[in-house]
Amino acid sequence: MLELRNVDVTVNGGSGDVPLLSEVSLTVAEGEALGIVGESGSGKSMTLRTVLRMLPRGARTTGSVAYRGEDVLGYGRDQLRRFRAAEVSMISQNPQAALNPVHPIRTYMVEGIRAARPGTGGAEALALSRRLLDQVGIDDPDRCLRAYPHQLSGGMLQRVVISAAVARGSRLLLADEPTTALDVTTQSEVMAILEDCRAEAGMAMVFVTHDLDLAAATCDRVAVMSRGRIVETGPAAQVLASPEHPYTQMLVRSKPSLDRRAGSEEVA
Amino acid sequence: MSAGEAVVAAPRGRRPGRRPGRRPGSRPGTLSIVCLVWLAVVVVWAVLGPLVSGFAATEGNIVDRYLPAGGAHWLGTDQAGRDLFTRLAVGARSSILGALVVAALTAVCGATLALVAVWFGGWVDGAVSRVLDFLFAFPNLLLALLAAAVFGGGMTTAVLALAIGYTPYTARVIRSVALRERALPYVRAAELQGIAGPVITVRHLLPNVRQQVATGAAINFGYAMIDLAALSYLGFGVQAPDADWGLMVASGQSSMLAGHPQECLYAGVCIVLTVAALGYLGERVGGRRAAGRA
Amino acid sequence: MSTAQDAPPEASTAPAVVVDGVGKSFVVGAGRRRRTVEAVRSASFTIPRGTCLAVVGESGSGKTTLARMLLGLEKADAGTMTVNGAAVGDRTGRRERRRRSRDIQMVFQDPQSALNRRLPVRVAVTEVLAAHTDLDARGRAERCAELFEAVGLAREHLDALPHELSGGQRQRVCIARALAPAPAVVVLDEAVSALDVTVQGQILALLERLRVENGLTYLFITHDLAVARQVADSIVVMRRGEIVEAGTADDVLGAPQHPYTRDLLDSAPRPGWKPRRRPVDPEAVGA
Repeated sequence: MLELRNVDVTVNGGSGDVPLLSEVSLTVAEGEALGIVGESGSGKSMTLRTVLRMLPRGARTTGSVAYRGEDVLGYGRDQLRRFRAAEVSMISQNPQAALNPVHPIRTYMVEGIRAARPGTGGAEALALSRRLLDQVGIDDPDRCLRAYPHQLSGGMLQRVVISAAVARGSRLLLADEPTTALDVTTQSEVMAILEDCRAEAGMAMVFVTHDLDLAAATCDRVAVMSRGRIVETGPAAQVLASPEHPYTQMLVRSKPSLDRRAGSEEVA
Repeated sequence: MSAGEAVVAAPRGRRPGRRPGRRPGSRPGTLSIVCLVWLAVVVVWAVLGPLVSGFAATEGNIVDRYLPAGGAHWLGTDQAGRDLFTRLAVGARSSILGALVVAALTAVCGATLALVAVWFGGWVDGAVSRVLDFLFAFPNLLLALLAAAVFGGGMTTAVLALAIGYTPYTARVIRSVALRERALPYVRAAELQGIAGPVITVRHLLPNVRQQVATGAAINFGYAMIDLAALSYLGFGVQAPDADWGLMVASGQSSMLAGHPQECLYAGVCIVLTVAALGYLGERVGGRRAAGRA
Repeated sequence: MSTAQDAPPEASTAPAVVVDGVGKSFVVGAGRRRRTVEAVRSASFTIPRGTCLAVVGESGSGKTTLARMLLGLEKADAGTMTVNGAAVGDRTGRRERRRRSRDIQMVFQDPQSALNRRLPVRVAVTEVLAAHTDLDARGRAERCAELFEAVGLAREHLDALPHELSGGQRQRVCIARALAPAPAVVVLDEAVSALDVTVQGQILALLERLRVENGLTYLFITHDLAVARQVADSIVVMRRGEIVEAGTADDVLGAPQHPYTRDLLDSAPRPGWKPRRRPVDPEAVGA
């Protein structure tokens, strides 16, 4: 459903062009979850932003980004707006930034639904929001709809953003470190909810994270990125168990383990 | 060019992780260059003008009154037959020097008050803030007029009064920037290491608010020129027969009514161009917000 | 790099840190919503000299408040704390504050903001030396270079500005700064949480070496059980201001007694792990 082929992204720095992505190629099938794993600056978030065409000013993109056979890079303004409203949803590390602090959650939910499905009535959109908030494990949807973003915890906000993505009927979810700012117990919960929602709505996902174990546990396939390139792609379990690329091997090795205490530098 | 780089290429906002004054790919615009050229002309004129014109600023021959531009008097003469080119040059001196002192005093007082308030916090911060709020309530010109009424007119009173009036603007901005800086872990780290408060303030806080201090001074410089000209115009700043742009606008008024607008016109144009040039450059460097005037 | 000579003689056998029944509450909100939150409730533990204690907990567990009290940044409402033989809170006044910074030092989570972005990184270390030693400028520069070497930085890093270094190198500078007054105890507040995993491992190994070489005592605050496993001799698990479990690292992580510790362990992603839903925590709604 999503296919990136030989995507290069460069920006003009002070002294010549700086490549952000080099020859990035990846595919996501309908309903599939692809994990992109890498350290900071590896280009994993940039890949998501390329799909949404939200690149820094002055960035040049070559290669092709195809969504269900359509060329995303060639979209006009209206097509792009419709693509962002109805087809893809993005959830980020900081859900607070995605929500306007002066509006209650209700405004955000209803606005999103009506942008994605023009002609939906306000009451209808509200009913749908209520049902979906309940589905992501929010006890009192009405209270949540009345609340303002700052009144909810990070985990709750992330659930709201997930349910909004489902409510819009998005077919592809782009998740950029959605659980990095959350506590581990909340992370487990949010990931489980995300999986339930995806399964029910048949939503595909690109999941960007620095945590190889998390990606392996929640995705079908994993792509490992380093310095703007994809160095390894494969089924999640296989990449984790028998990494082929030296960089992936180093990632797997340096992951702190719960089973043993680390030695000193000389030993490590 | 190199002088232009130094002024214009300084980063606009606070940009962590960038050396100030080293922004690649940023060129001073044409307008910035025009502004710089005008300011340079004014400075050279102020310094050399009286020497090259061959006339004294305060002496004139009544026979030569209202001469048009051209001839021995390059810009003509005023109603007392004094050379306008020379008077404008001398007027530039008092305008520039006065404004410079106001800007410098404001920067020093504002930064000191702000940093003291931020470092000690608590009731000290509260007290400083209240005093600044109190000063804010007075329009600057009113404050200066009040001072002139109490202490007598003249340049010194005007400059001091304006400096006091401007201090709250600078102090407010620097206080907010310094507060943000104070909360960063590196300041806490220095504190935990047992380094004395004044040392931390001077070594760590001051360099990080330097840019705001500089921008504020540049913008205040322009405002000070206008206000000083206004005070001279009203008769509370530079006193006749000394030359000053504001005073020349005032004394030229009667000549203008008599059909000789040049004194008024030249002095007015000088004030407008110089203040506009300073304002534009100040805004290129840091923006009015940085000076607390937005 | 010897800390032993600065330590009071009787301290060599006594624990480096003793926390006894310490509590702290904050008043939050205003008007009708005003209420008191107990950030830490009667916490007690000791850290034997030369060992590492990890305080593990999620956000809002009170672990940071605890560290701030030890550092004297926050006053405890109840209980007593002793660091390096001296009670916390006793040391007021300038001389005593200086003395205190030889008892305990801190490394922050974000090395970027923990360094002045406008000054070469060596200044962070030399100014500490200037405050604590009688060394002249040259002696300070030499000592600074030694400290840089000890934390695995090269001489050419001395004059770098913070943004010219990588995250790991910046954290090394912060560690050198913390070691400069030759402290007995170092508080590490999520000191590797902002770093990439490959760098994380290097910094943890460095900390381990420095601890062994200098006989340092660590209080390591972290939300990451795996990180705690790497560095800690003993572990304290905190939840909503209370210590729910304490013991040796092997006991706490190998055979957790408290359900919350088990929950934490189960939530950490690892091979074969699956996320799971749980009943909604009523306290997580609203604030």
